Amino acid sequence: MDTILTTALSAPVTEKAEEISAERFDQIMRQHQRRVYRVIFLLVRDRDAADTLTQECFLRAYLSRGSFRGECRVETWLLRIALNLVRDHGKSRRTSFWKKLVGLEDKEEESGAPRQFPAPEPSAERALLAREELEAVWDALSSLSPQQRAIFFLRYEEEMPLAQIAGVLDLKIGSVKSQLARATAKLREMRK
Amino acid sequence: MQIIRHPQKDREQEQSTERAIEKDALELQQTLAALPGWGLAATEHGDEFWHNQRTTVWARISAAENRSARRAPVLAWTLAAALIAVSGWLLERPVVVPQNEAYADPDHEMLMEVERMVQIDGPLALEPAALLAQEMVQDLSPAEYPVRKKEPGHEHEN
Repeated sequence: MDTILTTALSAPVTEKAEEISAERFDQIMRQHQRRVYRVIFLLVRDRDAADTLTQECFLRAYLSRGSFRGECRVETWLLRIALNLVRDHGKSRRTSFWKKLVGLEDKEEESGAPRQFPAPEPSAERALLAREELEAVWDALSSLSPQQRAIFFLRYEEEMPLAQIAGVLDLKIGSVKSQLARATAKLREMRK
Repeated sequence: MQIIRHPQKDREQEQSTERAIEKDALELQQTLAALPGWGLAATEHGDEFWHNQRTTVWARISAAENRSARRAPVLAWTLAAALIAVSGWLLERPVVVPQNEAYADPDHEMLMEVERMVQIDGPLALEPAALLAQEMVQDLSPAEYPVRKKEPGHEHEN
């Protein structure tokens, strides 16, 4: 029986670099763009940034497809690129925050705090409610490290096996488990 | 310092972590079960959005490839020019013969040469020098050091 802590990976879907032609890459993009966008969005909490970073992720993946040796799933490879971009985005946002603080950048822009969502699309009442629920989860997890948040969302929102999370983040499963334990404990504490 | 690992202890700790996660997950069951749905709903977009995103990605890929294609000849020419400049400079500069920087003590060199001559039967021209060196060595042997006598009168001369 599969438990919440199932670590087994399904048979790895590997693909060799030379097989990724432009047509195949387009298929890969169609197949994974929603997930990549969703994971990025959950971590940056900004739809525009998520869109830009998703584009950047596929751009980088295409340009570096020669280095993909098929040792992991295409999805793992893409998410690894995506999470690196999210990390860099966080760093540049922090830098931008300090620049604004010392007056080096336009003060009219917002501070380093996560941006609020823009007005929802007309037919997106359900999306708005979902975002409100997510806001509560984000607030509860705000004191965690970006990596702990990533592990939490990959596990419970993306329902990804721990072994795959370890692969995406290049961590040991034990480390993933301990960080996940911290994240769930924090959420439980905050939801009391 | 060597870190000693206890596999049994590690396993127990991992199991306790797993139990803690399961316990928390049970308490957060409702939230965690709803999370995938919230994620999907919050990132819901029409087909147009995804199509536009793919189009933009392909446009960016094409731009990046064009950029690198344009840069390649420029880079090659720059490299070639740099190589020509460096080779020209190498050909033009005066050849400097490296000097032996090891310091040679002429006295020591001479003594060594003389000693070598003493050991092998050297040419006659060097014999006087060899004999002189031999004599000097003998004179300096501890048994024959000249004992200096103190001249008491000199101390009070000034």
